[in-house]
Amino acid sequence: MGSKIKPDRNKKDSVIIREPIAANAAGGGRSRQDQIADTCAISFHVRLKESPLVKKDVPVSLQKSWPYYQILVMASIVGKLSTKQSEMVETCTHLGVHYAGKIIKESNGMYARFTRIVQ
Amino acid sequence: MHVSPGLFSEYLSPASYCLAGNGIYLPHIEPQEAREVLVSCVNPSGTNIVTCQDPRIHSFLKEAGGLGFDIAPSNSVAVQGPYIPIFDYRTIELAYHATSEVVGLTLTDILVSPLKIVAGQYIIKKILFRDAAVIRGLCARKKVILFLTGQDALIETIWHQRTVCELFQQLSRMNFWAVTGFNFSVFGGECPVAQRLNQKKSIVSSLLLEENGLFTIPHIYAVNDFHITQYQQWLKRNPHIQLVTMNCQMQHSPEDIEQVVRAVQALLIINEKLHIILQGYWFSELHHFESFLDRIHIAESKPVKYGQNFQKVDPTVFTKADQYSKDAYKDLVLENVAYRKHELRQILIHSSR
Repeated sequence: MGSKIKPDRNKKDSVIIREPIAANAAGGGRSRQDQIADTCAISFHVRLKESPLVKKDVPVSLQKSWPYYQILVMASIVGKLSTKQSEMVETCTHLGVHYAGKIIKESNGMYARFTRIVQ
Repeated sequence: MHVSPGLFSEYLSPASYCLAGNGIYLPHIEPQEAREVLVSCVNPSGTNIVTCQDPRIHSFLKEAGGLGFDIAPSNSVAVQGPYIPIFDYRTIELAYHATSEVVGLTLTDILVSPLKIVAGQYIIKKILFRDAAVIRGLCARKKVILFLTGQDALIETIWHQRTVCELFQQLSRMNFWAVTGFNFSVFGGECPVAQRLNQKKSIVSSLLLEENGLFTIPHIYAVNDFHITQYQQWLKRNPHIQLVTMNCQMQHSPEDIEQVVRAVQALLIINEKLHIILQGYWFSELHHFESFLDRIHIAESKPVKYGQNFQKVDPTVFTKADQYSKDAYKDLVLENVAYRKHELRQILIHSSR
């Protein structure tokens, strides 16, 4: 990226530094950071059905209702993740990752967009 | 403000919690360097840097051979002309016509569309190298420097995957005249272990380039006096190094420019044969270098980017995108390159009087 005398990095250019491959190959399993980078998508979208609650920029949250994660606006269910997405979110939760979501409007409808937050 | 140890104290008083403050990284990192920490070294996700508190630190130290500046490439190249235009893959054939003997490309230019933005973040799509024959064609007619600069998402991924993607073999096939060390980021206020690790990784990358038969130009970043001293000692121990480079594309504030000037002057004074290529350094700030100007070279992509946007770099000429035909960018690129080369020459002549 570059260098500055103050720690103001470009927010768009963020990367999880992976453990050197030689260290991984030596055994002991992959590090948590590598697992996050490999498993937890930076972002994913889920299409939502139109409803009075589904408005652009409204924050959404996830609630586990196994085998799925439901998408909530306030306390109301407005959609759900696919099995694959639910499994990913479940795995990533154990890795200390959560997803922040909000509703976005695309030309073909409304979507909940979730973005990875690494703790 | 006194901060009692507690749940958030590492974030409220980050300098007190940097392990380098205990002297455990001496002689490579002075304990005083920990006092400059502004961002907590607690970084459990390993985002952007590897800090003193990263549980994987030993793997990274092993990879870099420790933090000491105890290695250096054994050969060095020398450049003559002060101006090095940086072209890109789209304009690669235009580089044949540039009047500069030395031209540049960057890492992204030898890869097929490596990056995309997802949710406001750069991510790597796939590592796929361009046809080596096309790059080799340019390298047969010009001295081409590959600058290993770019977004962290790109350079960190390529570095991590360097063996898997056969980076060095690919670079050898392309026949570059020289390849710079990787431009790993170094930010003031972050963990000094992370800073020194990235500086050392860059030197290691130069060494690996050389081991694979390539001439290399070590890349240097120094954001404080401790770094400057380390590089000065390194250059004293390795007087055969006569060319280094620094990517200056982010240093635009007066404080950052002052630091670049301080670092460059401090390095050039160590060895009177040493030259430095400053990538993306502003012409308007060249006067700070005074008597060192004859050993400074500027590499930049500005005239090429402007030309592709149907703009002239000459600020007295206003252009509109729709006033040109689709292919007119080719002439604009070459015109811009010639203009900047002439502009730099004029600055140097004026400064030497």
